[in-house]
Amino acid sequence: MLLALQSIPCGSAEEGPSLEDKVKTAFLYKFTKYIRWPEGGPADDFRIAVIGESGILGPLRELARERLADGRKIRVERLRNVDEIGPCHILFIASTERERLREILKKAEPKGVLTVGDGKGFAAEGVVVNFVIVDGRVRFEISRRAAGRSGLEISSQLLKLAILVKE
Amino acid sequence: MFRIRDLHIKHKLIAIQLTTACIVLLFFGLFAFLNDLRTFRNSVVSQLTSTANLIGGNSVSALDFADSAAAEKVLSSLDAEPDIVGARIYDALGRVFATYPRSGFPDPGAALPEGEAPEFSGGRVLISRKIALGGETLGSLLLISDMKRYRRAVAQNAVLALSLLLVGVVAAFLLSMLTQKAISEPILRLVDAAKGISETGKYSFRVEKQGSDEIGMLCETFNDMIAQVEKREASLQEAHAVLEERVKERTAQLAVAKEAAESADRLKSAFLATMSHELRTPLNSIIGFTGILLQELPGPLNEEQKKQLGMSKGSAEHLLELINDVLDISKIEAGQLQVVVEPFDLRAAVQKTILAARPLADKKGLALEADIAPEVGTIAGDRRRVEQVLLNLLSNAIKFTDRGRVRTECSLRAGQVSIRVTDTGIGMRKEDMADLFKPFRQIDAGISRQYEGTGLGLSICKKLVELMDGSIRAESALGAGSTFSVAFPADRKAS
Repeated sequence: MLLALQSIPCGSAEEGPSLEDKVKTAFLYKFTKYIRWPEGGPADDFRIAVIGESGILGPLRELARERLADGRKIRVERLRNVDEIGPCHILFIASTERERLREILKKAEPKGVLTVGDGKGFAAEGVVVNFVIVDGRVRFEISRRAAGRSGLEISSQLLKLAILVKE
Repeated sequence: MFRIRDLHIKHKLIAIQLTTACIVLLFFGLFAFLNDLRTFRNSVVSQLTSTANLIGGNSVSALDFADSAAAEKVLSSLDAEPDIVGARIYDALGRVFATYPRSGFPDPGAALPEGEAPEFSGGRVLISRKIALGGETLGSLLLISDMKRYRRAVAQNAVLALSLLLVGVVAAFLLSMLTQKAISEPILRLVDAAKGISETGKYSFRVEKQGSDEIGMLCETFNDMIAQVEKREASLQEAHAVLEERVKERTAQLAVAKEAAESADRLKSAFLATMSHELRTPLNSIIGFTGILLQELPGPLNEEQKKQLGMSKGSAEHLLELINDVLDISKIEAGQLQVVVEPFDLRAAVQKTILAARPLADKKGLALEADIAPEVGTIAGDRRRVEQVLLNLLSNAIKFTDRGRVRTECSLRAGQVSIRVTDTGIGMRKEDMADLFKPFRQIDAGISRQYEGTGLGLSICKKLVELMDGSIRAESALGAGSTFSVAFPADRKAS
């Protein structure tokens, strides 16, 4: 699904998933095409884990039902504890996890996981990709250093669209 | 009218070489120009294609993430491409996603190209590319390129090709000026030589041979030919000289012979004249003394003596006559006989001559008629010679006539004296008349025996008449008598 350039209303209190979460879900899915994961990741499904409270879970689940990523079935898991972080491709860190961020990253980095944050300044903290809202539009920050730590290769095409952040 | 074959060989050669050079240069120039055109076009297209591929590839993520600002940033890299005047990215639904330049995007004009092939229109090239990621079509890119640079390059190339063509033609012209000499010069030299020889007639001239090509062979053959002509001319001249020498020699010999003959002739005539004179003197005394004897002055003679003396006298007179004729002939032939011109009475002369011939006619019983026209009177001429001619004709007529008459007619008309003597004698055959006036001729032996004569009479007559500027003519038929006509001018100027 392609997105038109349009403003995304913030702080939606409506029923069902907000447009923002839908956009983020779509972005998340698109990231898979521009990022190469290191060898030794989960071999079966394309795993997306979500830690913390986020409205993105619904749209993600919907995505997993409809599409394949990298030719594989998408599996979405919800994590509650840091200990639950296991081998996966994408770890979505909700804004609620600001307190545990260091802990989470520490756990995730060695596993070659693409950490995607959803909190202001997360990228500077060591998250690889972090969603931000700029001028009412969803954009994302990328920390190349963090990506390097996780052994991820990010396409220049993606970097071109990102707000590059230094830790 | 201008015709190529009337041109000088020099110009012909230059024209041929120049034409060939022009055709080749034009052909190659055109070929090179068209090739350049194609190459330029191809390079423009390939450059545009690679730019389109680059831009298309670079705008994948922007399109994917619907980031038109990023897409426009990508498009702004086209600033480095001066030819590209406009670019646009459309999304999968065909909506405009990003535009370059932001303001002043040119109207694409023509319909957007359907496929990947470039579309040329209105001095611009339009090329479109699909933007896809992993088999998913995200949108498309349209590039519009200006052809100005391409056109300028083409124009420059055309100018270059034309100036090269011009240089080539000039070079070909100069080269042909130089090379044509190799052919035209020997030919011109040959022409000059031939002209010179035919004008001056000097066959000693030779053409210098320069190569062993056809022209060289021509020179050689020409020289051979001239040599032959020269040789022939020389031998001709030699023959001519020899001939002239011989003619001179012969002429000299002839002159000598002629001189000898003439002197011999003169000698002969002089001898004859002297001889006749010497012969006449004793003969006259014989005739004189015989006459005295016959007149019986010394004493009476008997009949027999008279008869024999008469025969002697007759023979002597005949001999005298003969001698006189010979004397006349020889005088005429020696050119010593002169006719005098003095007035005399022609009527009296004719009558006197007829009277002189009467005894002969009476002896044969012939009638002697005379018809003298009334206008006949005094004329200027040689009386003695006229009488001699007439007497000769009369005695001839009487001699060859046995019966009938001899008629003499004399008239004067238009200053011409005409005397005709007509007889009724034996006449003669046509074929005998040709020799009639030649000396020592008598028609045949039989006649000469029957009618004695010297055979000189008519010949002398003819010569005398001719001396008087007149003519003599005979008409006759065998057995029908003869007519001799003499005509001469009545008033002959003394010559």
